[in-house]
Amino acid sequence: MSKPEPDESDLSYELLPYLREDQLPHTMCPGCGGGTVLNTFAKAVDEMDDLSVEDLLLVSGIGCSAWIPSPNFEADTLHTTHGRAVAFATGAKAGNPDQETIVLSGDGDLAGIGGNHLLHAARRNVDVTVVLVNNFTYGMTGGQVAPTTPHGSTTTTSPYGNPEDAIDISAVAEEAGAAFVARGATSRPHQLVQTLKAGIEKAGFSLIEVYSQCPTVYGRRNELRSAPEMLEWMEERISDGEFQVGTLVDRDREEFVASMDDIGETARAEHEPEDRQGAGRTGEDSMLRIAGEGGQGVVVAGTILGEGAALDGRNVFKTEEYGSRARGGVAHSDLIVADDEIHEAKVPEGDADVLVALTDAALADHRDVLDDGGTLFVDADLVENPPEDAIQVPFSELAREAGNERATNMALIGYLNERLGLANEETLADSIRANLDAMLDVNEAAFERGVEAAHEE
Amino acid sequence: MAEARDVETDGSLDPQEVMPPGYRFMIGDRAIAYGAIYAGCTFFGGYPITPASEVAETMAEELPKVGGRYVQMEDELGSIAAVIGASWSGNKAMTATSGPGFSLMQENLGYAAMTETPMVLVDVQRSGPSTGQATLPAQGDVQQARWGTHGDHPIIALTPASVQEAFDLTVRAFNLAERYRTPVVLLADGIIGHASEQLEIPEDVETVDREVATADDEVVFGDGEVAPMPQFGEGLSAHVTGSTHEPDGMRDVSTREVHDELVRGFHEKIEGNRDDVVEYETRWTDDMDELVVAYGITGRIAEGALEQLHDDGQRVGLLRPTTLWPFPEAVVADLSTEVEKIYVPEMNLGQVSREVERVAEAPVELIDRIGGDPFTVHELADRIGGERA
Repeated sequence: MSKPEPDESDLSYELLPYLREDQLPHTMCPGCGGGTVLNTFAKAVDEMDDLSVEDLLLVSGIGCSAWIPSPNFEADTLHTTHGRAVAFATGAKAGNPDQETIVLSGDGDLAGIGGNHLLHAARRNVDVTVVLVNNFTYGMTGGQVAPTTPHGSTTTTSPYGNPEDAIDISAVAEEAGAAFVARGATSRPHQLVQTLKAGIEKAGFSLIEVYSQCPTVYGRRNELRSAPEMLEWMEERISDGEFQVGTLVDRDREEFVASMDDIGETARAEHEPEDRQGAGRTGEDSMLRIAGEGGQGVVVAGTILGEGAALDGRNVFKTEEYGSRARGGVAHSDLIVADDEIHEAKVPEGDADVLVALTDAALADHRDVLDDGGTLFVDADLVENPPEDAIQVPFSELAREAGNERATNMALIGYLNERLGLANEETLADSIRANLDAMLDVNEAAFERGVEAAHEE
Repeated sequence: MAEARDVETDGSLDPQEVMPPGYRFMIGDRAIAYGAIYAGCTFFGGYPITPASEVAETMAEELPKVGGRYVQMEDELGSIAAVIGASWSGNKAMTATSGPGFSLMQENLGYAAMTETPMVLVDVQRSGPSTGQATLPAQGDVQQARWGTHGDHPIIALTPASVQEAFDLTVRAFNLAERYRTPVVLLADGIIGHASEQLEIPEDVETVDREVATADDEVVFGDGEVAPMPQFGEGLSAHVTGSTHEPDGMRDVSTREVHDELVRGFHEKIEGNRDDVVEYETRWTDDMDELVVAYGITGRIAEGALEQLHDDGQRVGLLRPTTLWPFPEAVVADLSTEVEKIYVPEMNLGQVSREVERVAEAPVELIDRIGGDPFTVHELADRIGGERA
């Protein structure tokens, strides 16, 4: 495993090889807990024999804590936008599971603006370790109140004391499903090293919340003017039980990225190759609209007719509109079939060569789409008041004869294609088989009856 | 050059096995998904939205077959973030959305521009602003694609006029993203997204892969000549940041020259390659009195309208850009000197017409349309050619 070699002649700082030396000095304020986090994190990486720095990816968002890894740590580093680090990390991890992907960022970034991503990464149980450095405030912007600021604390935007309660982000992560949740504190660096190692080693989503001091913009407004004062404050709170450190949850759940291998296998096993080809044909240009009630299958009829013509190499443009209710509202399918290029994006009012109406409501709604010389087909049973020029076709009766009125759209396809010559009959029959999985016999029989009915006229 | 993640070893199918070449009938959204798979996409991060959801659905169904990965994120902010992360870890990556989601993605679209991340963002445009007419089409995001994120940045945006072009331009979007290390926006619309059309899936498509940096490369950002990408997992200790950075990726947010060179470099690599990036079709422009500039679904309708006008003996040329950004300024300026008037029909209140006005020598008339109904051929013929008998 690849680890940087310490320079034996330089005993100033044994973990220096983990840092981008040309970026020193770092930008943290004197007394900032970020240095301890960087130090303990480097130590944890150093102590993990199986972890190669080449495989490390550090992701951070915006804020002081996001600058702990970026630019200081010598590894692949993705310094992202405010709040989104966990989402970036999710994509990076799914895109290359070999990367040990670690988010290292602050409380405002991860628990405030980015809280939703944290919640869902925990639920998803993606194998990312999140080190959430909780310094109780928005540090980089000068010390505003954060979702982690203790109740009553003074900040630049809670000058009279924070009226809100702090979020317990570790509890939230636990509830959301994180495989590993722990808290550490910069006042306990040796313990923190071990906690970081445990979180990184865990397969699944890990959150390590690290209490960290910010004397410069948080502490000084709360009578904690120096790092030691803040560290003592943290220790007191740990002692009195207000801050709980250590492992809060450690459980095994199916990891998200690993589950994708199974998904790939399932997808390939269920794959049915699409190899249909029509024999090819040409014919008259047609603009047609098929209208009926939702549930009568007018959209499926348009799809099968259009697909048949397209597989036969013709140009087809099909749009549709569903009724507002699942069954009952008027639905229609517009189909333009031509051997030349099609330019319309729908069948324009007054331009349709053919209108098929399966109900009185559909007829009323769509009568105007028909060209003056166009042909109107209506269902002989379902349309009770057909106009004189309508051709009455017993679509629904043909379907009932075939075994089920729900196959009305299939009788319609057979009849219409025989009249208009949109596609080869075999291509359509193929398309019916490909698009339907229930009542195939009845549907095919209805289709045949539709074809025959066109000949009987 | 290093390869993207190796998906050949686990029994993965080829794109040709997933959707074999030949005539197919499908909606534009599905064609976009298959175009992506043919282009080599191995990661999709998405969030459902009408009328783009079918892109995600198709990717969820098909991407695992080629060894790719589909992740449904918790929102659009996360979708584009995951896509950028996956791109850096070695994948050709895409997301798809519509207007409201496109608005949410703007910050990270800027991040992708700033970090020179190859990725494809599909926006199947719908009628806005806000929730607007959620199920109805529009072309209202053209300027959002250009200026939606803050700061100066170049962008490439392509727009298809058919289901076939939805497939073809998705392939092209990936190739441009990889070649120029840049986000590319595919501006489809709700009609193309949901209309079913015949399309011919080709036997094979030309694909382009990013140049991956090696340890010897010192300039990995901000080069007007397209710097090699310091992809993760290559042992490069890459430093990628949305803050202003030096050519090696390290942050410098206070030096004017560093920012100036970086951001101008982004522009140079796109602007300097306009000949490759900008594509358009022209018809009847050799001998014309008037010109129509139209794109996407409206470009296709306009072509039908001009065919009618030509049958009537009117001499109106058509310029149909398939690249909207960078805007095809040169050809518009050039053609504008030959005509008395330019018409720009579009499904918004004037977004491309402004660009045409900016560069054209002839007067420009916007034919605008909002409300979710596309133009018809007759209607545009009447508006452009005048009422005829």
